Amino acid sequence: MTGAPLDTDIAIETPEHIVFRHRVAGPARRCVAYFVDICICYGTFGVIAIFVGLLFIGAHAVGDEMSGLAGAGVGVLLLLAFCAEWVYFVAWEGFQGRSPGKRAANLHVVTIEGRPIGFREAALRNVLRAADILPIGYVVGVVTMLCTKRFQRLGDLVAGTMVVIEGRSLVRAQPIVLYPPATAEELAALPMVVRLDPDERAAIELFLRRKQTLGPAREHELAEMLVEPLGRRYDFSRRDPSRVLALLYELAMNAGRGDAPPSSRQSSPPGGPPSWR
Amino acid sequence: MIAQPMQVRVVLRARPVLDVVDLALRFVAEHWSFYARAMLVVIVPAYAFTLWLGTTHGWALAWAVSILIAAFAQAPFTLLASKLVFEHGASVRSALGGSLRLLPRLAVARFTQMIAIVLGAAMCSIGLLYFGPAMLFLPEVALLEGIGIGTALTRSQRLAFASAGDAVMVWLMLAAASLCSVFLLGDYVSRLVLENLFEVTAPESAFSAGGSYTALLGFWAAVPIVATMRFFFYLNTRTRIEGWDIQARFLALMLRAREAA
Repeated sequence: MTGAPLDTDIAIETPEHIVFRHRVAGPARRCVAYFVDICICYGTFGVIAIFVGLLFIGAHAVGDEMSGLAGAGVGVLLLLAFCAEWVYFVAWEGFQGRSPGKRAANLHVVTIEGRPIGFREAALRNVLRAADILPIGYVVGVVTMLCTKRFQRLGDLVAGTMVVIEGRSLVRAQPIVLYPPATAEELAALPMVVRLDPDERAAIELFLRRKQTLGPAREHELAEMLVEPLGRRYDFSRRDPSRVLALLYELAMNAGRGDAPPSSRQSSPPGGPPSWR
Repeated sequence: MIAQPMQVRVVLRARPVLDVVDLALRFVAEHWSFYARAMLVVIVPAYAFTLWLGTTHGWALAWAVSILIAAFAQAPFTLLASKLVFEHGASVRSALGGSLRLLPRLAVARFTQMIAIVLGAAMCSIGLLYFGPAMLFLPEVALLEGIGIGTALTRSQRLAFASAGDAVMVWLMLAAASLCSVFLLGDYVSRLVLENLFEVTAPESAFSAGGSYTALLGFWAAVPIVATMRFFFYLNTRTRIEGWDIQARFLALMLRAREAA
């Protein structure tokens, strides 16, 4: 019951002590990717099988001399079945780090150090699908995934790989612009220098980014919680706690910066950003 | 019922639907001992009873009774998940006790939910697609928020339609999960495993016989997982629209400031 809260994020620290965070994909998301891959793989196989079937019928209709061609078609079909089972995933993941299904589900296979995988890793993790699929329907694979922190199936454990969700689904940080800009009266009521530690900055930033989705009452309720201790620290009176948090964040982040957002330079932002009131 | 999210055991963040499923599965695996104990008390007797009904009175009655009991058997797992997420020293006993106390309220909520879904189904498939998701969080709201059924109805709809697309997807996904558990895992996979791995005579397929002990086992095994998924969807929706992740951070900062003072 103790320890870090449960999450699907993992942190990887490089030898240079830079920490990268990855969001690992679990059985549900990977199941969607696998379904797309199976549709592509066996859909293509089915189309070719129909073509070969037609060729087979046509060859028999033309005469016995063409039956060799039909036999070759069946051979190609068997080869394709083998490729669909064993080569498709290895080739895509070896070349691109992900199959088309994984691309559709926004997934990428990387090593547990966060580096791109090569053919060796791709081959290893896909050969072991044969074990993960046992007894049927990837039961072993899913159970193994749930028992490991990085949602790794047996193939991943052996190859030292994991499947991560690509960053494009994460929120891209837009600069937070205070609008309308701080008035002289508002600034006079606040301290000249505001210092927020990283936790406070992150918490206020999260609030400012989401406050418009919360509704006025909830926004007020949440802002009150933090304005109270900050008010004690900086000795200011508060009217609209949400506005006060926006002002404090603005003062802490952008004071004295030449490249600060337009709100810090007392001018209207271009394109009319959302109002922080 | 839910405590203030100060020391939450999962990272609160607005997540996509599939990530919520992954987190719920990971949560069940992480707390498997709690779930195993709760299953011993709730699921095993329910399974035994419905199996007896199936073998003596026919599978149609067994399935009907199973669905009815399962509507209530999810409650201890919802409370257990809530306590494991929000409380120190959560216990199976307190989750079971809590669900027994809240049984009348849950009965009203489930009855309302059933009426709405039957009405929706009677109207047309669109009606079902409206009422199903609209009532999605009604049991969770009734169990965890301690409010009357009228307010719970309004609140359930508000939560569901804050992200209507997700609510429809979740509703369909939960229905599919239960069906897969019965027909795919309980019936098909179990019979394959029994025949090929253990080399014992497998029961007749549920499709032809109307039911089997393996299909029923699949149904009951899914109950705790479905209840946990439902709870995590509820938690995710509240995090998204009420900013619980922000509240958790602000409370941590408040506590820190208080300690420093």
